[in-house]
Amino acid sequence: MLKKIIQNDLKGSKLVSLTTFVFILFASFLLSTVAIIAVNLNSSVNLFMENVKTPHFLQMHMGEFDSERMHHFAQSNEHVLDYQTMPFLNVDASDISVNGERFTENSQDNGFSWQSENFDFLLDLDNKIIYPNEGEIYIPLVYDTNGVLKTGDRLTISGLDFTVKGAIRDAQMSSMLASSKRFLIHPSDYEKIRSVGREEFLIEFLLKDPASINLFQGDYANANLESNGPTITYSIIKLMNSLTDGIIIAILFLIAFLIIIVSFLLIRLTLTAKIEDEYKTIGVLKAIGMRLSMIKKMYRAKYALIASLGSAFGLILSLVLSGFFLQNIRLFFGESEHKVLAIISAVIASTFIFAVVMLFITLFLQRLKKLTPAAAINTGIVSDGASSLKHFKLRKQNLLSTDLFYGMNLILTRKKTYFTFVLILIIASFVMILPNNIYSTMASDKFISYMGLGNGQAMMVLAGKDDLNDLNSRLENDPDIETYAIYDHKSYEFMLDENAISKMWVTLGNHHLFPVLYTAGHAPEHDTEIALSFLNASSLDKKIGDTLTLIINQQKTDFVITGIYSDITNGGKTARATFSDDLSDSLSTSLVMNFRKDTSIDEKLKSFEQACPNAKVYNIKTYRDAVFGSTMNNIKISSVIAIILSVGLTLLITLLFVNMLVVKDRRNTSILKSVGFTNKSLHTHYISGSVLLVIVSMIFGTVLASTLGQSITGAFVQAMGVANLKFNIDKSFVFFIAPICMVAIVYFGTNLGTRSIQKIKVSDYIRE
Amino acid sequence: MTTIIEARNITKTFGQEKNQTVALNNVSIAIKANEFVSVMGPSGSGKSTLLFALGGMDTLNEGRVYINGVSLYEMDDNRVADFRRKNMGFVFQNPTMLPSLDILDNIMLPSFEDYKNDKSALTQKAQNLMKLAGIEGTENRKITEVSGGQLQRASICRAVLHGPEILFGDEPTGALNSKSSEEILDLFEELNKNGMTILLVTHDAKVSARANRVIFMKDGALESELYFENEDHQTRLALINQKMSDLGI
Repeated sequence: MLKKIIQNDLKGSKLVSLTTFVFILFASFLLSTVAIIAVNLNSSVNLFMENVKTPHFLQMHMGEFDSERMHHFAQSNEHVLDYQTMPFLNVDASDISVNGERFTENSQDNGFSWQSENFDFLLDLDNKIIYPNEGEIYIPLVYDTNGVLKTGDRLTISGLDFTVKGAIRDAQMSSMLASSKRFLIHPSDYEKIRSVGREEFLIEFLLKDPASINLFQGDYANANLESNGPTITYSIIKLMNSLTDGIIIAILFLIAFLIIIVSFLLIRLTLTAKIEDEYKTIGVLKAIGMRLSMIKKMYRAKYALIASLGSAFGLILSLVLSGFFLQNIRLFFGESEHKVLAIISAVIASTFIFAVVMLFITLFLQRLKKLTPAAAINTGIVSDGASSLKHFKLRKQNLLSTDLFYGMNLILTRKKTYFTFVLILIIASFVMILPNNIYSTMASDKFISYMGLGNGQAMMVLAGKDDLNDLNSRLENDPDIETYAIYDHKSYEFMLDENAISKMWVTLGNHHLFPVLYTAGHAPEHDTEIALSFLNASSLDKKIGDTLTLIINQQKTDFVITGIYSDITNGGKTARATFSDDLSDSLSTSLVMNFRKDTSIDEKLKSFEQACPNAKVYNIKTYRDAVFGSTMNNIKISSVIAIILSVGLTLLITLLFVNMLVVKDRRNTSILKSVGFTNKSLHTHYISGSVLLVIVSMIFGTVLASTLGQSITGAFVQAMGVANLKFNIDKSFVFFIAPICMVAIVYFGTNLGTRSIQKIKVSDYIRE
Repeated sequence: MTTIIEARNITKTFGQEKNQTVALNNVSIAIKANEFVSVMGPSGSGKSTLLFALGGMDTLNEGRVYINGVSLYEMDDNRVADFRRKNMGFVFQNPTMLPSLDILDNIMLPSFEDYKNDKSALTQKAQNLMKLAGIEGTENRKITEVSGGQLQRASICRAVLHGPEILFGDEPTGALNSKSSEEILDLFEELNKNGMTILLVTHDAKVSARANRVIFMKDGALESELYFENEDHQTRLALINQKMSDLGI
């Protein structure tokens, strides 16, 4: 009998059943895919990092290096398993040519190295350690995939030709978020080009127990060893490697979550309508002694079939298509060793979807418990609460036409029914607007201030101070320069507490000229003041007004913290102060500048590059695009997908919802027809309601995307050092394009959904 | 008197081929202005179908219906709806009221747009009608807060508020007790005296006895009819029963 009930039920509601099936299928597909990607990503990255033998602690250092002292420290420290120092030769892009043309990729520090002896290996695409021959060069994988360089290219550095033999997987520097890129060459070639670049050292440690990293970091700081450069740990390397695919996982998970919510709303909508339609039947079934569990089973049966088929097909689809999502992971990290576990996780994910849907239906059907046979048979009431309102009367209003009044009246008297519809429209508006808000924020000029770069148009970075005086007078007299400022970047020791010492990057200069974004307080104004980056302040647990003690030329000096700012440079941990110090070495010197109107920035930058061949010259927007380009591109694609999804979802739900209402309202429609309402009027009732609701939903969705969406995004980017993110919205999209699009879709969907009104004959529904 | 409703050779069938039922079989009828007509017949005789057909609320297989000389089924749906709102009123067996409106708004709903600039006059007119129908004081009540009889009287108020020339009733007293039925029929008589043409469908001889003309239907066709002038109620009742017995209804 159950089979027959399901068959009849499916026949009677083909469109709704199919839609519910598709939604469950998508939810299952996405969640299973998330499981497959997450397991494979974790496994591939772990395996890759094991093959590479990624260091647990890495200190970059530029300047003099006492190898004996370091060796002694490594041997005597109880945590160290292995130790090595690798040279890393920074070569300016202007000193590199590709097939005779100038190398254009200068947003990254391009460095050259040879293959490590003990660990931190550079691998080929089979995860094998590569040892290039003389004259051969292996390039960073990301340059290969971005098309910057390709196998067979001829790279020339200081007159020495190299042939590109392939790409390398580099655990430390593969990600575009890492600001350096490593090229692999033969040790003897390294010696030949050594004079062209600036040599840095990668001081690397493998620990016996990776968990002892904090203790080891303390030991290293206390030993007062070389540390003129950033410090990177194993966990940061893993995070950087996983981030790009991690974002995809997060987006898919979010979409899966939304689809599950929409599936629930859809099931709630259709099941409510069905139960209301069959209220009397349920009463009769109860009256003739059928047990509630059996009645529930009848309603559950169809959804059990749909949910099991949807979950199963979703799982199959994810197994078939997950290869597409795994391409990037395979390319950058190689194969996973947990393929079976990934499949098991996918099965668990799709089973979870099935279980959640069934649980939702079971909970929903609890309402049948309250229904007595007498109430159901006698009243056959429709429990959508439709009942006249006290203060909203036709006879008392002057503004609306009768049709618009009735349209509004239907909404106000059936709030529960419309609530689900509104909720879905709010979600659709939210999904449509949020990715666009994120994209427009990242693409805006203001976002540069979050990156810790100030609101300048261009930046020059000098390795030393040799060119500074010339450059200073040149900029001073340049009529195209509106303002400029010189910043000195130095590394200082500071007191972690009374005994412990650590190091911090401090930028010295006038911080009022090119202010970064202060989330609290203001830029330092006096020599005794300092501002900390958000991540620095968080990790040191410092707030405005607290004191920080720096050790400047062996002297302890107290500084009052005046501001906390957003910064993503140097791992997000920096400080800013105004004091001058000519004795300590500079890590680098940077100049930030703004040009007068009508100045061609690119031409100006070219002239600077020619004048100062040792300086790195950036157009700040180009720099932003190089660092965040791929992320922004991903978000832009997500934004377009989100718009398509929202439009599709809105159209589908409007169509289903309005169609359901028309079916439900057949008797009322007949009454209205019998007293002379035209089909056009009846359309207007539904259209006025839908349009009003979509406008209200858009307002809610837009507000939510700007508040809740901003908080969620803010929390996500906070880990990178971007604090107090405020959206910079694209007003034309948020206030014009998106609302018009949503209203048009709902209008179209309602029009389509109400077409059957014309076919309703008065005689069919009024005749007793 | 002029003919206000005219049906020419109308045929209406339900179902497809083998299972086809003929509800109206080549029926022709003419009703004059200000007549009070009752259509009688057993269940399935086609009387309700005839009423819906004459009111333009159904589709026909064949034939034409004219109201004041206007051919109803040659107009599009929207024009039929407008025509119906202006010229006809309908009362059904079970009150057809909208749950989202109170009693007075339900009564005023179809006429509201025509009286948009003078809604106080419409409200006054509706309240006068409610008083005439004996349901004053129920204006602000929900449709679930009044009795079936009160609701049916409200339906009649709604049907006649815009002053239609014709009032159609499909078993309008069928769901009411005898006291309420009498009161409704009194109201119909009152409206007829004021010039309204009334066409009722009923299987109750007592209801038909209030009409001036009784049409008998069987198997989708008009079988016979009776005209009354000054006969008292009992005589009319006896004649109707006799006719029904003769026709085997």
